[in-house]
Amino acid sequence: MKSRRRISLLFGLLLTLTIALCACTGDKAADASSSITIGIPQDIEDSLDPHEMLAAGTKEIFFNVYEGLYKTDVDGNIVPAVASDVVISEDGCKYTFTIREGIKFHDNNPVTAEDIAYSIAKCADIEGGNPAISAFSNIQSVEIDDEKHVTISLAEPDSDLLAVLASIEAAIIPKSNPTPSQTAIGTGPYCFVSRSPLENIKMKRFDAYWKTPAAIENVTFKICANADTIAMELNGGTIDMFCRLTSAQMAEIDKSKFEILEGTMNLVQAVYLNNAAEPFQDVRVRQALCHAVNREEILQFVSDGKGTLIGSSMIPAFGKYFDDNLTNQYPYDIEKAKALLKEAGYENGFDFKITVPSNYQQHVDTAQVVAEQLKAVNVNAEIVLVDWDTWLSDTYVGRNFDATVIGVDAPQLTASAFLDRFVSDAGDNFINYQNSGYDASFAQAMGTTDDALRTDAFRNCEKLLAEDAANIYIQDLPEFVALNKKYSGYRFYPIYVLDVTTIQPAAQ
Amino acid sequence: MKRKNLNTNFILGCVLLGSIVFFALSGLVFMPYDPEAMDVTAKLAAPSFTHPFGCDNFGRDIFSRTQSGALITLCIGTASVVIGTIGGTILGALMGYYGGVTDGILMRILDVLFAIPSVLLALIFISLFGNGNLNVILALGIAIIPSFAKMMRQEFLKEREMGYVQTAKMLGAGDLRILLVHILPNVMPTFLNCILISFNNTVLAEAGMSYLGIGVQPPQASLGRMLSEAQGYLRSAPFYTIFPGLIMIIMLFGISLISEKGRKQNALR
Repeated sequence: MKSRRRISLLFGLLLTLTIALCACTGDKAADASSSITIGIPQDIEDSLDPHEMLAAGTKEIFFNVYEGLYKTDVDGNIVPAVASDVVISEDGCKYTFTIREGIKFHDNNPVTAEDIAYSIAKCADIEGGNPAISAFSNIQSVEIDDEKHVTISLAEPDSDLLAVLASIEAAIIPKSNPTPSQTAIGTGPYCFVSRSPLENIKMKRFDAYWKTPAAIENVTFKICANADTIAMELNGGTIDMFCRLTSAQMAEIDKSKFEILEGTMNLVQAVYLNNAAEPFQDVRVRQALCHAVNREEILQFVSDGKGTLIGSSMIPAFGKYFDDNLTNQYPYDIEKAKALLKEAGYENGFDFKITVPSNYQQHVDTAQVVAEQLKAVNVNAEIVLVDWDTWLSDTYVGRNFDATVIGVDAPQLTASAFLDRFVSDAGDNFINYQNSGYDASFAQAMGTTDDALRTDAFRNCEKLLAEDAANIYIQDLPEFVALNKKYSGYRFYPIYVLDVTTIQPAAQ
Repeated sequence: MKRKNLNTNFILGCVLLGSIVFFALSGLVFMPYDPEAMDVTAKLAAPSFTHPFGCDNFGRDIFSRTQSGALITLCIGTASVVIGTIGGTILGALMGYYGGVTDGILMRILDVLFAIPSVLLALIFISLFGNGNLNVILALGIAIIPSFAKMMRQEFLKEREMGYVQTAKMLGAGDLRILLVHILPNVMPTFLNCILISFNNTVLAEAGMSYLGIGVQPPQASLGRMLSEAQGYLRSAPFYTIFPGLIMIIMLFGISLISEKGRKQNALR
């Protein structure tokens, strides 16, 4: 009996000690200039080889580690990175890159022409014919001209090549690294330090970076898989920053400690209509639905009025390609919608189903508002919630749907990334959009190297999509980022990346 | 003393359940608002005289939604219990009364089904046949069958050996007659208990499924669906969770009080 009491006393002491010591470990009071902890929603179990990375969440943070010959800057321009310059041949098929003077890998070895030839050949898989992304299949060969110059040859001219090379799948890595999938060595502003499964990823500033080194020395990406505790972790100080908060999470964040930054998700959110399904074959029906949907009200309901209205498959972040005149092509007008429906022979309305992946609350909410609004024109929309895998296989790949609410993104920073799916015979043309005029205009844009001509052709494509009311375009969804007031300088990119270099300790 | 206590509980249960049923049915006659009508100006409005339970994130009146939601929840519960009862009783009666090889085989199958939680069973059904209220009813009904059949089998097995059954047999009564007219009335207490317990379980299961997004489809309301939608606003608009939750708690508590009486009576017997 006595010994048992002694044991429990021992345990009690141990427990007290453990708890007391736990308090010592957290370096919450760490100097803002030396470190930051950023919450990320998913574990990074991807390959560390940039050419093999699959998850958007991995690529997003490894943007800080890897760089291609070119890279995307914060305004969406394609700027030189590992290369300092490029010369394009007359026929647009040969690109000769000059390697940046004095650029080094994280292991302090200089970047050589061999490394570049190795990286490009590896990601485009010239020998195996199985490139990391399909856009690389155009790359025919890569040759070393001399110590400072590398030439990439294309099968046919592609004015998007620099944008494609700016994606992380075309990052330059050292040839000397035998295990790129486990050891991450790049040229970016941060070096990869370590990763602990389900815990964190650590990065450290690369002081020999070719541009001004980043302001913050140590970056920890902490994995916060539980969406319900994110607000608590932010308020409690275990993480300093989190991207893509929901409006409900935002409501719980302590506004005196955190700055809420608003950007856009760079998605084209729309009610995508199956143009081959009854009754959406009729352009008048599609136009009628566009008139019957009050998009301002959707924004009010779904995101407190935040978000950017759009009128075609293009987002404002794409600058010159975005045509703002299309945004209000179909003003909210119930009478006009009814007239169009009457013309099309659907005076008494019709029934259809909106299939929505249930894991995206904002799309489910949007579908609910749309369904409610369409009642005014006697159109009865039934909402069908499906899980993400079912949505992908039945709706997106199988094209077996009437309508769906989803956000479509652009994998590269090129106008074609948004528009190529609407070419009549495109494999990912899940809405079955058919318009020979569109195909011609798209082909024209892809075939030319003249920038003005290209821009016009792409804008013409957008115009056709809007005129045909291919989909009920709604908005580019708002994105909210919470950043501790100890820091400042977070910038939104027009692509899916999380750039740490712009973040600085706030001026005291 | 004990008897009296039993009765108070029973009466309390009836009152609670009755008031919820009345509340749900009253929606058919009078509902302050269209439960699906949205209103931007009333987004997450707190309870007031115009909206006694407040409004949800689409400005829909929570009182009206709770009314229609409670009705749907009750309907789904009742309908699936009916399916489960019919299926379970037939199976249980056949197995218990006839016994033999059929009983053995069916029992093993039920044992396997029994090993799978009923909600999981319903989930499998939904993923195979898709969403929709009818499918939810079918799925939950089928999910009840194993436990129901097992309980009924036990009772029929017991009654089979009773004198009155033997007498009826000797008098030349048909099997169907014996099962329905003679045995069934005698197993009524267990039968009713089974119904009440599975009703409770179904209401919870429907709530759980709607909570997971595979039950009742939006914009239709059910109590579980409303709770699921409310969870994001737990802090900013607690009333959104409280009212549907309260209605559900009262409903389930009422049913358990009623079924408790049956159980105790059984024990007294």
